[in-house]
Amino acid sequence: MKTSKTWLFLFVVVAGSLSAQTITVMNRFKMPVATNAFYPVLNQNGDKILFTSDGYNGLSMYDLTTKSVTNISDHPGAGYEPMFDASDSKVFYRKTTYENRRRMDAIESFELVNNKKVLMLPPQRDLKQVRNFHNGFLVTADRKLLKSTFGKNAKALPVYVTTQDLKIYLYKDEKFQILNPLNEAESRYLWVSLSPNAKMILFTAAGKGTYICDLNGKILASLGSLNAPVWYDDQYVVGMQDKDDGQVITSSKVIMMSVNGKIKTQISQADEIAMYPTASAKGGKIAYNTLDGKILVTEIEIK
Amino acid sequence: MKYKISLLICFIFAFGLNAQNLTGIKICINPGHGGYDSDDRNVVIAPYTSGDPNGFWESKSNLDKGLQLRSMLEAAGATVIITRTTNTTADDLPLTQIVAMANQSGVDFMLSIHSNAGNGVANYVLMLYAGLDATDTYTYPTATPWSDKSREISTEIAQNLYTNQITTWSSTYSIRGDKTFGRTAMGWSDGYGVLRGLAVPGVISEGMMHDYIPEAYRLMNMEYKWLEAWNFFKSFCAYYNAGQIITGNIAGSVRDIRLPLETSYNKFAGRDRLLPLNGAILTLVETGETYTADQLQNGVFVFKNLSPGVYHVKAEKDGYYPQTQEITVTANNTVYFNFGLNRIRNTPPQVISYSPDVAITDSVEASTDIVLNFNWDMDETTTTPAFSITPHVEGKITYEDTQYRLRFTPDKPFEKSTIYTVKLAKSASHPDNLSMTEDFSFQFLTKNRNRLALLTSYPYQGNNQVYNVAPNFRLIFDRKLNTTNIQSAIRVLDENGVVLAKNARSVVNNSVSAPYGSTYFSLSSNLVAGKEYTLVVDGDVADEVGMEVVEPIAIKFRAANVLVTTQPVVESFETVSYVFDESQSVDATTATTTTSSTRLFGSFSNKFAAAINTQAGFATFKANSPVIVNNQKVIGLHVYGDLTGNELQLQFTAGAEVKYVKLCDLNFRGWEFHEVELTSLAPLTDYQLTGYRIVRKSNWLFSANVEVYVDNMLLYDEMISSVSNIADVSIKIYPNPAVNFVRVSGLDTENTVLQLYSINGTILKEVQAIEMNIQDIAVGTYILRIQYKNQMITRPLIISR
Repeated sequence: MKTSKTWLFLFVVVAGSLSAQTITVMNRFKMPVATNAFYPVLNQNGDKILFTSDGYNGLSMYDLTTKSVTNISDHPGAGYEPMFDASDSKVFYRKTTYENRRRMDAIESFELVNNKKVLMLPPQRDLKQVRNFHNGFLVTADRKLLKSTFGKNAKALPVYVTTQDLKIYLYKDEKFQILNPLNEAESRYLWVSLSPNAKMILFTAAGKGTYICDLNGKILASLGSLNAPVWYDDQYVVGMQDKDDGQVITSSKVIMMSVNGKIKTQISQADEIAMYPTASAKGGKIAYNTLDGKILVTEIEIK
Repeated sequence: MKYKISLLICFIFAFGLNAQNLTGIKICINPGHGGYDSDDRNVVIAPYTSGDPNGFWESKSNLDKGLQLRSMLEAAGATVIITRTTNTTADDLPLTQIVAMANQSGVDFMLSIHSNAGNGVANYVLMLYAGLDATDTYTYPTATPWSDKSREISTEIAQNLYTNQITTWSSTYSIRGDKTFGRTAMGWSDGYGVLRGLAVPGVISEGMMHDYIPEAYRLMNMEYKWLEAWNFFKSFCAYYNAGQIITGNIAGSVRDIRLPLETSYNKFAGRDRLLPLNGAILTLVETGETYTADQLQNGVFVFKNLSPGVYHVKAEKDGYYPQTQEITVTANNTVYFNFGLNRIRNTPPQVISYSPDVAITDSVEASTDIVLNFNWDMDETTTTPAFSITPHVEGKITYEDTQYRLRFTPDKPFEKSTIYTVKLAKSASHPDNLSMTEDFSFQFLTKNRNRLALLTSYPYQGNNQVYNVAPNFRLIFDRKLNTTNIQSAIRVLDENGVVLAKNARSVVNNSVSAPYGSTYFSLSSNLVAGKEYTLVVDGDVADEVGMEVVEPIAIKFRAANVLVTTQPVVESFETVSYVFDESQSVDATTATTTTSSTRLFGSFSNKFAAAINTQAGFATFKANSPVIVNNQKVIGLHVYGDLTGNELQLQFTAGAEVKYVKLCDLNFRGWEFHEVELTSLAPLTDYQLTGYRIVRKSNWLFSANVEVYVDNMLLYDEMISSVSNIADVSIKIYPNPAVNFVRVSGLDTENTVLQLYSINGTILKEVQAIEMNIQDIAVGTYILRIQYKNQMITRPLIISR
């Protein structure tokens, strides 16, 4: 309890110090790839971008330094929530198959140095939330927490957050607990993620809005409408404000917002339908895709 | 006892089957839309009004299906992610959140439940699965994963939904890739938003068309929605090889076997046109379970989850013969049976009221319908031939109020002042073959009027100088108009029969005082000078009691440029040039002369206005600066007539002598050019044009209020018009309006032919005489054509009584 109160105090202090800051988009360019590209994922350094198709078919990587494209996988589902490992030297991605008409997901790794592929996890049911751990990853499958690393690793498992059937599951102190920050029986939690400092949880409650809570589920901030939110760093998040007519998406903009919700800057341009942002604080970059399949990369400055 | 043995066999059979097991399967159910807002597809069906949350809303219907499907799936061990469980505005989730719910839950399939709209004239199953039609070779911006899997399960669902035999399908089911459908039918580049970005197979199920109103009523029934959910469930069990559903269902509807459902909304041929029996009670004999049909015009019933076997369903409704049907239920199936119940009609039919029901000394409108109301619904095949009316009248018999009412509508109004006898022979019977015990008859007398009469119009038949710029059309009838259909039923056609658009803002209806009716309008564009046009009045233009014109009227006229600029102008009327002279007027009051912007030349015209209160009364407007003329001259004047039928005369003065020369009849509305040779003036004498005189020609109501405009008066030597007219200054038609006879003065019988034309140009009568008997001609406005030797003149003639 003491820890929680201390963190809440720090959140208030840090959030309060944000009010004088401004966010500026210093540069913007289109990722020069020949195909339509969606759902970008920046690495930690901000010099590589994973991308896929609108239906998550296949996975490719664009290197912002060498300006080259690497094809990682043509497999269906490979583009769904891929990630770089903690050292930015590997990519973990899914291979989705159907067995007896049941969905199964395996995870492969792809080494950027030699393009070597390794099956890290055989096909699993109900695979969720791949997260970095040591030189591998943590993941839940069929409601069990699994770790997969290169070589044995005796490190204690870190705090890990995921969802099961749209409920928030927090792994902490070697056990799962269910968080229900809005304390409503019918809440459906989406886009749940842990902050870089592992102290806060960012999530969207369907039909209600996007929030930040602490590890006890106490709401720290309400950010309003901000879909597909991701952490930029411990002080800022990025998400999209999309609108539709019930049949198709009609508009969307990418917004960067301080964790207290007081600083809000539009990152995308007015004439774009901009969606699904990704962020790299270390690289000072935010990337997003447009509805028609272009990936825009922005370089931002926070003063 | 027999029923109980059957049931026992059912249970034994049921336990021999494997129960369905969906353990481990995860399904996302998305009940489409959310809330009671403008985008939530409210279909207005009685008794609910627009926006009533208790009425039909697709958002609510989708949710009811979704929640029932969730229960079935969970009972079979499946994990269900449902995107909403309530129906509020907040439940109307962004499409991206719905997709994210399916993806992040790791479901095996996403079902988005909807119903469709087909303009009320279609009802079929449309499955829009995530992907492409199997035959589609178009390259889309993005690929869709699992298109084949989505199509496979969508086909299973469509086939099951289509087995529904309570509804009436307009066509078979359709299974389409959302991208193909979106591109070809909606003009979208990349499919439906709720399927876009979906990482799992999925489909939008449009299970039926909710704007087909009988279907909207069915969708108000919870069991009907359960049945759709059950078909979804059955599809999932089959697709995931989860075993058969060990029970079956009995479903159907209860309707009257013959009585029609008398509502105005569209109903396909077949059962949807029969009367649903609200509140009918269905009993499953073997179990004693009962189901009461709701009150919402659907007759739907469902007995759910029955063990296979033989059952008997009994349908009952007060006033109907009960009916029992043996039905064999099999596992994994719904057996449909639609009941058609027959009414109990155990007394003879009789007429309980009728119309027109008036004393024979009173009279009724000649346009009235004859109505007979019965104590039973009647059999058309015996009742229609039993009906007769004397004198015979052609007409149409229809039945209303579920056959309880017979209506006879005559093809044309009844004759005037005629006693009719209506009879229904006792052979008329109801569907249970009981006939009336005695003949029924009554009489009525019609009024002395059986047509709506057009009293006057502008243009009139044969009018050949209708100013082509912004002509104002005016029609005055003898009764106030029913304006329901006159926008299209009174129209102007060009030479090719093309309807010319009315200027909607110019239309003024029934502006004349009661009991008369009128319609005034202009067109959206000018006419073409020299071209012929037709003003049409359809036969179904009617007054407020439904009396129609009956015989359509076609008034032909020709447009002209009436501006004459080739002769010297002796008066331009830019200032007030003539003033009212009360001393030279009779029974004229409130007379004025003003300048007016209703003009043809310069900035102004002169407007003469007056109330002339008696027939033959007149108003004289005296010239401020008289023009000098003689009998060798011609005077031409641009006149804006007022459709009064009055006469515009010129006053000439030479010393003590005062003479009046007729310029024109004011039987037009708008600008025309009229000229007159002054040959009736004494030769070798200079006259002054000292004034204008407007003479009231009849006691017709609309002759009293004078409003005439004049512009540019010309003085010249030769008539401009080449039309050969009788020097008609001496011709008088009297009386006008006429009652029994009309006479022409100033001509001799030997050289005179009188022809009476209807206003649409049909010749009605012709005599070689100066007098015509018009007693057999109906009240209205006519054209009297007078042929004298080789010359001709036409005049409007009003017949009134």
